[in-house]
Amino acid sequence: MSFFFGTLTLSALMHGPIETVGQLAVVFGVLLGIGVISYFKAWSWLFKEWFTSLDAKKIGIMYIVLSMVMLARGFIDALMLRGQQAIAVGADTGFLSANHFAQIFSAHGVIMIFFVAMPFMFGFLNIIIPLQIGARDVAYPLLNSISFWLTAAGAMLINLSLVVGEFAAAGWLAYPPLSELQYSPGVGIDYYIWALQIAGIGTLLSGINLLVTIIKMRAPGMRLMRMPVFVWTAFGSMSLVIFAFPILTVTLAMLGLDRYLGMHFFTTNLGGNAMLYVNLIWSWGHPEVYILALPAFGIFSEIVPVFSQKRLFGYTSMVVATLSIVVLSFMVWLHHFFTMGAGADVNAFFGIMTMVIAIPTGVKIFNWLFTMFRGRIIFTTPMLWFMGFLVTFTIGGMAGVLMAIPGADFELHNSLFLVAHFHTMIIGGVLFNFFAGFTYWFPKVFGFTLNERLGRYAFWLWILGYCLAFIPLYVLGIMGMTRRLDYVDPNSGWHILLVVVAVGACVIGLALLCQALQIIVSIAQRKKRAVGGDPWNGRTLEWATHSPPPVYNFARIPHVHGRDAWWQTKEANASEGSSLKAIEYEDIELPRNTSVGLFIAGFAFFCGFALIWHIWWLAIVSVLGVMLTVIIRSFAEDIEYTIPALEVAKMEADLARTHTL
Amino acid sequence: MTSLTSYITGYVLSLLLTIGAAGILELHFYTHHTFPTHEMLTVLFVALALVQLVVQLYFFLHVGKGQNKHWNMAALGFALFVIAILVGGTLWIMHNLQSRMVTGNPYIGNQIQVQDEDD
Amino acid sequence: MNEHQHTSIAKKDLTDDKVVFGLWIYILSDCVLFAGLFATYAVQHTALFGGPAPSDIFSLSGALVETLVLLTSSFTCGLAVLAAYKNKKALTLLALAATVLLGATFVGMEYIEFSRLVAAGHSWQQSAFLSSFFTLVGTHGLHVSLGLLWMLVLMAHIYLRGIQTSTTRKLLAFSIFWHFLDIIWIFIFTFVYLFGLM
Repeated sequence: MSFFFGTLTLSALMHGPIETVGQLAVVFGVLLGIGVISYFKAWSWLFKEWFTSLDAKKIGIMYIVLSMVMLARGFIDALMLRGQQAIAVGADTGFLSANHFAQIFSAHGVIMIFFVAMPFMFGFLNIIIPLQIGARDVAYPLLNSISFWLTAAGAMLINLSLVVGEFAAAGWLAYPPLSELQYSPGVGIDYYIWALQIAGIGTLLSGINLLVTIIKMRAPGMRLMRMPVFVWTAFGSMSLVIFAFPILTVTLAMLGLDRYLGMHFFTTNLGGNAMLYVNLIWSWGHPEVYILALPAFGIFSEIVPVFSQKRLFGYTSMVVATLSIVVLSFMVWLHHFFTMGAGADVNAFFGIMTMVIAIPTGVKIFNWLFTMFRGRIIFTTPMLWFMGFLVTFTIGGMAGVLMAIPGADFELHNSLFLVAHFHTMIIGGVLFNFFAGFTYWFPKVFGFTLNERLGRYAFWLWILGYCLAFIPLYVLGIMGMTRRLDYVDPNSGWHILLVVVAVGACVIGLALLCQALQIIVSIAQRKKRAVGGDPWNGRTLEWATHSPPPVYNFARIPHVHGRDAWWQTKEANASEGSSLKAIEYEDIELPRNTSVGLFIAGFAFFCGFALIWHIWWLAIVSVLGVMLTVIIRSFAEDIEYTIPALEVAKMEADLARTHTL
Repeated sequence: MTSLTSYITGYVLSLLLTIGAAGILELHFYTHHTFPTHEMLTVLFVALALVQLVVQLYFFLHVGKGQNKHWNMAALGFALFVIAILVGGTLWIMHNLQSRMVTGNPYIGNQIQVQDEDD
Repeated sequence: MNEHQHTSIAKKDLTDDKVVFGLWIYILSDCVLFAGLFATYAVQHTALFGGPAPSDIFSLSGALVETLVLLTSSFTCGLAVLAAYKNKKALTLLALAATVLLGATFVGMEYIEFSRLVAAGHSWQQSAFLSSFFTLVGTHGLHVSLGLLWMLVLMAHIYLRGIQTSTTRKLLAFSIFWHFLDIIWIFIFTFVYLFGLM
């Protein structure tokens, strides 16, 4: 232990052979990234156009890029886990030690939820919500940048754990007493705590940002019941973020206090209560899954009407269902620990509530189906993803309702049946939705469409991979296989299905490669794939502006007269003839770029690193750095710039010439 | 609206509610923990706290006043709902778990005395 | 709007303000954070494990004085907002200074209370009850301390830039935070000190 380096020593860099591969991969990846950017002399451009931008569209794109990078890592984790399980039977103990296996499944879960699904969602929200409500940006553009960089800082800490030290080996929720100092004396849990606390602050701030945006920045005439359903689901999800994330913050803080200051919240002695942790963490954990699911459902509420060429069925019931889910999602959390020992009365209450919450989701699914009924359906890739979602999510959802019965859950808790259920929920019910949204909105953001054929291939590979990788898990769970096993007995009869599962994981890998290829090919073909503002004959306001949208989104803030605002406008134009009246432009004020977000997140990153390695002087300096940055920024005056009306007119004229609106 | 009267009223009421609560506790000590009883104290303290919450929300924070009052109150309502469920649910669940815990050793768990199983 | 004009601050302008509303939402999220700490304290305040019970270590007079100090600071903060609405810079700064002093007194008293406990061997390491007590009350004290820093920066803003829409907005946002801290304290006073001493 030293003053300057805390508990950090060179041995933190020494790992076993397989970990060293991971370590080198991260180092190599970072060097490659730096190398490529330097080769193209793109640092200045990156810094000015992207890193310091306060444009929600750019921040959204960076969120999605982050999410894709972390998807690669989370997926490699999955391959290693399934590979180990396919091999480790009988005399063969596989290629991963038990501790390493535990670190991998912990990292896999943490990465997929916090650094793939959440950033992907915030990416969509940042890009689409302002456009759909007819606004120019979110409520607090600077806070938006800070939030993104804080999330990136958390991701960097997780990746750093591969290089220096180790990661948590107590699962993605780090239950005590295993996560306490006594049983996890290393730095792994500390990496976990600080990565999540830092990213968590970013998430909470984004939640407030987007909620205030939706409440306060809607275009004139866009009453609540005229908002697109995607905006309603974002409203619901952000409400959940704001009121659930503090629970995560406080629970991880208490775990941290146990570890750092010798407190006894969850220890095995002096009054600590590990069950309290489980209770609190799931009070956050259940709303969290709805935080992801609601906007994911909202995406389909946009896609299904457009590709059924028919307006959404049951708008009001969609809104009511969304708000019901928001309320109910706070009332079911005990179903994650039916087996922890509560009485039948407690278990029964939460079991019933869990079944009740399936009802509004069912309402949504019926509404989408009724939207399709008698529509003229176009089976583009987004609609394919919707069909995939329908089948997989319904199966997984029914599995969930089965486990909502406490008696059944006593058999299935922590078995692979559970693992199958939640992967189905997140893959079928969130990831597929995000893929659909990605394909649907890509032309809006970049001005050209994605290659349809590769999109189809990717979809079918995903479906095949999903079936091979997860359906057998339902069977294995009922056969009695527990989750997180790194070795199976040959007499169990489980091995053959585990091999199938591993094959499925590889097929998913092919699907992902196909998607990567789709992006590359589409970029190469971008000139011939170029489209205007409304390639899908859309219904909502994001299609009312150019593709890509100019920095100010709309030259003139639209006036809204009903639901499906853009559809209304198009119908009005069709009946009256398109209005070519002289348009008056106004000066547009936009926020200037700033590196404040980078500084705050940078200091936060060093603070987290310092706390992990007990480098107290660095922790104090970093905290002071954050405070100083905030204080100095508060005195800044020249934080906006204006695009004069004439300039706006010129930009609009240029866009009208080069794009077809 | 935001007037001096509002703040003074809020301040005086809060003072009274606080000193009142402390006074009731002193009375409880003075009567050697007999009056008011523990049950009465519980009800009184909670009631006084909730009243002071409303007083400060209205007179200091002006909740229910101003142009944005509906959204302010809706957000507050949802927050109170979450807080009630979090605290109430936690207490219900943890108490339920605790009462079902088998404690052979009287010093394990939160109870000093061994509890009956049929709670 | 030109921020450099001295405009008389219409009271209506800021109640609908984005920053003020956003801060209100943030405050509500902070309430949930405290709710988690209260729930934890409620569960663990009987876990004494040979250490002191609440009635052994709490003092009604100390807690009452702390409460009155913080309550008064909440009042002076309100006075600062009123002074700003009336465009009175010096009075605003004076009221804020009073708030800082009272807030600092509160933190000081809490620090003394904590030090005495630690010195007597009753630190947060002794039992789950003490862990949850120090954390709940300490988190509130940390918020108050950050509020003090916030106030000093705010006073610098008002001193340098005077009373304008921008500085009044900052002051209003701060006052929401400060009032919220007093509200949390009501519940600490009640559920920790009064119930503990009962």
